[in-house]
Amino acid sequence: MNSFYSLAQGFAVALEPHNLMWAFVGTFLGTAIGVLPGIGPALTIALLLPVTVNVDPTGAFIMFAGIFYGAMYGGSTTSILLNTPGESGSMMTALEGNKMARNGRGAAALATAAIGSFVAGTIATIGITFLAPPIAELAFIFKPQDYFALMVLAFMSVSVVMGSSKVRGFIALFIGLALGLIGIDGQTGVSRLAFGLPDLLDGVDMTVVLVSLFAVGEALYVASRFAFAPPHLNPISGGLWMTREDWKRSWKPWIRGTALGFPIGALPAGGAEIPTFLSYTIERKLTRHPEDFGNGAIEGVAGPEAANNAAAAGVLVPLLTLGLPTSATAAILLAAFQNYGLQPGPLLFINSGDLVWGLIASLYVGNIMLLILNLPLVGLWVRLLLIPRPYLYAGILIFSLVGIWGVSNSWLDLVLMFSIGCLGYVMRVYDFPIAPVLIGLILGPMAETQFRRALAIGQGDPLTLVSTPMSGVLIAVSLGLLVVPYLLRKAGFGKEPQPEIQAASEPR
Amino acid sequence: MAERPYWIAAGVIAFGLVWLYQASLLPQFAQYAELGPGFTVTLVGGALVVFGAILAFQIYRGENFDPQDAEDVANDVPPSRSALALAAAGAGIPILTMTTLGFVITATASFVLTARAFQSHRYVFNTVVGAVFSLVCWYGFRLLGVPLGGLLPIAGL
Repeated sequence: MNSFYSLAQGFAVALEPHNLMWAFVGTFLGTAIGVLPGIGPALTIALLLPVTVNVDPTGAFIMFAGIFYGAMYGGSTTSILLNTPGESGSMMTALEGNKMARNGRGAAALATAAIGSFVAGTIATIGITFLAPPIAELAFIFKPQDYFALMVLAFMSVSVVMGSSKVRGFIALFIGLALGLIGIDGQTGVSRLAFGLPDLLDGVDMTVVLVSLFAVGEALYVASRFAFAPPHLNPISGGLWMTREDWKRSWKPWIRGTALGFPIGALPAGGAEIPTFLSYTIERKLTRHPEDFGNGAIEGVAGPEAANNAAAAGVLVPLLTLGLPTSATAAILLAAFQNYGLQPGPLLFINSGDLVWGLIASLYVGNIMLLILNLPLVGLWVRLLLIPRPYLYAGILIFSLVGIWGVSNSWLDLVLMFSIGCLGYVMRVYDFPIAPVLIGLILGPMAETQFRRALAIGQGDPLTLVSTPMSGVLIAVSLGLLVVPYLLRKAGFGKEPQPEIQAASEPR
Repeated sequence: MAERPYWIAAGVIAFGLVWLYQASLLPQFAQYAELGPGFTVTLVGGALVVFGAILAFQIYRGENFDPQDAEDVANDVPPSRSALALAAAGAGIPILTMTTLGFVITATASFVLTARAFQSHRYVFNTVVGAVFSLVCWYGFRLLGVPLGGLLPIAGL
């Protein structure tokens, strides 16, 4: 009942005219960036962080949530009509959706994707509504060692799961942790790693790192390997609605996709790729029309799209309840909370109830807006792809400059923008994952505080770090993430070594 | 990729060593908090050195480093160094000009250089588009309360 009451209050906040406007701006921007290449929800929110300093936090977060959700919708449009997934969670949609479009069934594919996203987004938001408060209450009993163990789990999972190499994942993580250590130590007041530069005493601004790694790094990378082919657009035909048969074949995949996406999205490094892939595989096994798979099966669009959107909602559960980001976008949302002096976690539900419940209610509102924006306006979104790439990327660089120079008019930030942008370029060329840098930078200072606090309470005894059942389990799971895949591979369950690595293993 | 990028491993190790050196200047332990401000710096610096060394060993063993996939990118052709240099100049020019020439001129120069990096040869048109875009950003974001400095600081404007 308490959740119902809080949600009703949240709707009162979300339905205020100015918050509705922010929800519209967010969903509109989100859909646009989902369609466009080179820009993702993480970068857009990072770029908007300095711009929204004068917006009240509730409005800003309603807009950010709209961007986050909208990007998922926008990604499906380009997957279906152009066979170009706007973001990674839409890859499976492209397989069947584009075939449907080529067969003259693009309208039905777009409709099942949009309605599936709406259904999944709504069910997952109901999940957040009722799951978040008990999880947040659970966090009240967390001790410093539990928080530290939770953050270690986040570090391990993003470093091990993301990217193609554990070592490169850990290097990315420790680069983020190293950058997060710069500045005055919060516990002792000692200046660390500032190299005599007063601008570094407050630490490296998160916006500078986020924008430089994502926007500048991406612009450098794409410029060096630029190959633009004008998009071949499959025409939308058949009216923007589904037949009775389409509905019959879609509703179960929507539900199954949601059931897969929401819990996996809530796991550290769960992401959208695994549930969408699983959903596609399951629908392929369960379908009564196996001959359609590979030729444009509507189940292959409905399930993965629902899983994709449900996973996006799942990411918000650990973020809001424990302050634990499980993806790059969630890490940036956490940075946004910190920008406003807010710390996600149990106290957020008590101290900023209006904001949290307004945000949750806005997810329901945003889903309806996205359904309205996406189906009738699909032609408009696709035209965004015709923006000339030189202007798109040059525009991104100018917005980056606004974001970085606007933070504090610091010359050092411009030097950092260039240096970290080059780092982002190198990371893309040599396949280092970027998300661990962000997670390390954002969670690192918090992890250090909890680590030192736990050891201070335990009078320096390192066993304090595993002295509670929760911390013990979480540390064990973290170590398991590292060791179990290796043991499985040794036992013959893993993949065989890649032939090219074997062949190249002898030094020249 | 056949190349063996030992320089990356060297860079990671050097980064870690700088952090370790800085940590050596900080107290590692403190009575009131058990751990001093240098302890975590030591841990992180040490980890970077260790992982840098492991990376060097992996490179020696022939580790693959395939570039990441991205839209508008072809990974099967060699990267264009001139385009990269132009884009890097677009990102780097603010370091030289922002404090003297201000946001509008700097952003216009960045715009033109980046557009050129993306194979656009319409210099005059790009300059006009970049200048208008930069001016709109400068004025619009000032209205939103984001300070972007003077119009032309060197002239006191």
